[in-house]
Amino acid sequence: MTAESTKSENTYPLDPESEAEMGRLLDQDLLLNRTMEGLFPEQLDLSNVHRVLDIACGPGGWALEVAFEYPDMEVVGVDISRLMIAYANMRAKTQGLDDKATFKIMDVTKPLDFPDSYFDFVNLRYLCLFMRKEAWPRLLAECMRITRLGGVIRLTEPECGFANTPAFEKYWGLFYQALTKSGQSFSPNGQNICLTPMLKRLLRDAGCQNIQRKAYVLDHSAGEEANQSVYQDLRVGFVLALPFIQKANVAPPEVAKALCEQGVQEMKSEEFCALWFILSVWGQKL
Amino acid sequence: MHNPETWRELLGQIIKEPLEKQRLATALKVNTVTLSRWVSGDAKPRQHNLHMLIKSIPTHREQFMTLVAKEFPGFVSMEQGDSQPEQEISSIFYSRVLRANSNLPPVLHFWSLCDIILRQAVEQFDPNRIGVAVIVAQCMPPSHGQPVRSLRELVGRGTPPWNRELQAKATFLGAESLAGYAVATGRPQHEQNLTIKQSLRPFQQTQWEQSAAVYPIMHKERTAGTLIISSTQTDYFSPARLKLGQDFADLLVLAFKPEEFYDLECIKPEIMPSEDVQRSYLAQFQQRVTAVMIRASRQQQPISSIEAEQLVWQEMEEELLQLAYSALQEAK
Repeated sequence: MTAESTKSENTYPLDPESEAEMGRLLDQDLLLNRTMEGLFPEQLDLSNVHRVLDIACGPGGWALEVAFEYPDMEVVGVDISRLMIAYANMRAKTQGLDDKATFKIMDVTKPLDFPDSYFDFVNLRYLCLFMRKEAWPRLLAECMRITRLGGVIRLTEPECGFANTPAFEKYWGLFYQALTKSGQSFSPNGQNICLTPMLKRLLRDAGCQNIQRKAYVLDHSAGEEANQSVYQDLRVGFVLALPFIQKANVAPPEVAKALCEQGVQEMKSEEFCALWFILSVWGQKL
Repeated sequence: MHNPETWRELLGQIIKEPLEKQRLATALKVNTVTLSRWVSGDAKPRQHNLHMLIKSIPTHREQFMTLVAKEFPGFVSMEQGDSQPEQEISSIFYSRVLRANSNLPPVLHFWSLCDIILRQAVEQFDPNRIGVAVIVAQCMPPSHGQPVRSLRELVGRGTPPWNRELQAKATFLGAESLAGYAVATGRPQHEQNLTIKQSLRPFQQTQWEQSAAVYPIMHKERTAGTLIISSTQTDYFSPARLKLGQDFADLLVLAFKPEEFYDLECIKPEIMPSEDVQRSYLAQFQQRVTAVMIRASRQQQPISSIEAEQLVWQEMEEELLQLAYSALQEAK
């Protein structure tokens, strides 16, 4: 698969070959690991987890943490971005984890290049930015195929953009409208992604059982611990999302640009209050 | 306190402090009773527990590893691994940085380039995550025809106990700091043990810092700032690591604009107050930026937030220098 071919098929709204996006994703992984209080659901018995797959792994933030924290696990990460995978492999080597963590270029909207019943745990986190809604059942069917009996599939997705400042909310609104136009939202009116309410149903329809879920809230208001981290994430994310929003033609380009700049400024205000919700849902193949 | 002969004794000494005991229990996701049972020998930790324990007490790492080796020799060799940290920057990474330098949008250029370089520096300096922090500090633009009088920490990254995420930093560094000394002399500086005063060079030890190396970020004999590398270990800066730090400092040159570099004779750091004193000033930063913008707007001369921030930084630098000067006069 070449970078050119992946580019034409890619629905990711931010440039997946961008260095700035890669840095943003790595920090986002750290932020999410902390918010979710660990790498795996705390209820999970890890004694049976040896082979782990991270789908749409980006630069390998979650997978490398698993390899570091759990030296007896073997982790594989897959992603469509050639840059992310090259970097993930380089990081694995730098950290001396290349015998425990490997990364492969793979388009996860197509059949996954793994044998049946191979993994004990399959992790899918933040796929909302590139998955079209009709692609979910196909991907989860593939996840079921490659997960062993008794293995676990976990989905984790966010709902963001809730704040008390005008431009920040409006800009997120434009982003959601653009995602809806590109077929990536379950919301009938494009006001959000509406993926979190779907997660349990998607897993159940794929055949998962013993489905459990846990919600997390990330407070990135002024003065809160996560404020700086989310600011760094979104100041990059806002800029990189602008071409996608402008291309979707959901607002005049100059309006979108002004909202982008003002939204970033608003995050620095002392009055800024904002929450980011995360839902993790996991089930077993039985 | 006597020298412990087993890792259990060492752990016992560490968890005598209730807060530390709770911190470790939380980090290891075990009950505090479990920690006590390890100390008494009533329970044996799993390999994963030992791994997390070593990670959670970086300042005792070497001693702990030596003692653990007596009871679990296999574990220690696995923990140390057979791979040595890479002490050269790979050509793949150089090419990545050059690509990013060409492609990053202007608004993200400085931050993203620093981020890429600092992230790699942390991973190469500290693959075992025993505690390293890397910080970029920039020369404060001089005002009123004066020289550069201080540096300001802009961005940092680390491994625990420091924060791992990219953090905006703000502390001013002056002649009292190793960074100030490095930019004033135009030469890299390092201290292998900050707990004892070994030289006449100035330094201010920060929390967890046992050794440090500082490199001026220089282009054509002009300086834009410094790269500061701190470690939780004494004697951390081997010749290979010192060379590696210089390589990262050389790469950071790409993050700065030509006008942000200053001739050596234009850099004369003055004394800055301690970080604790600065903190209360820095906490007012955003409030003051907003006030400056409102004032400018009322005067029908609106300014951008970036301009307002620059003004406030310069005001704060002046106030802090005055504060340190007054304190020195009083002390005399």
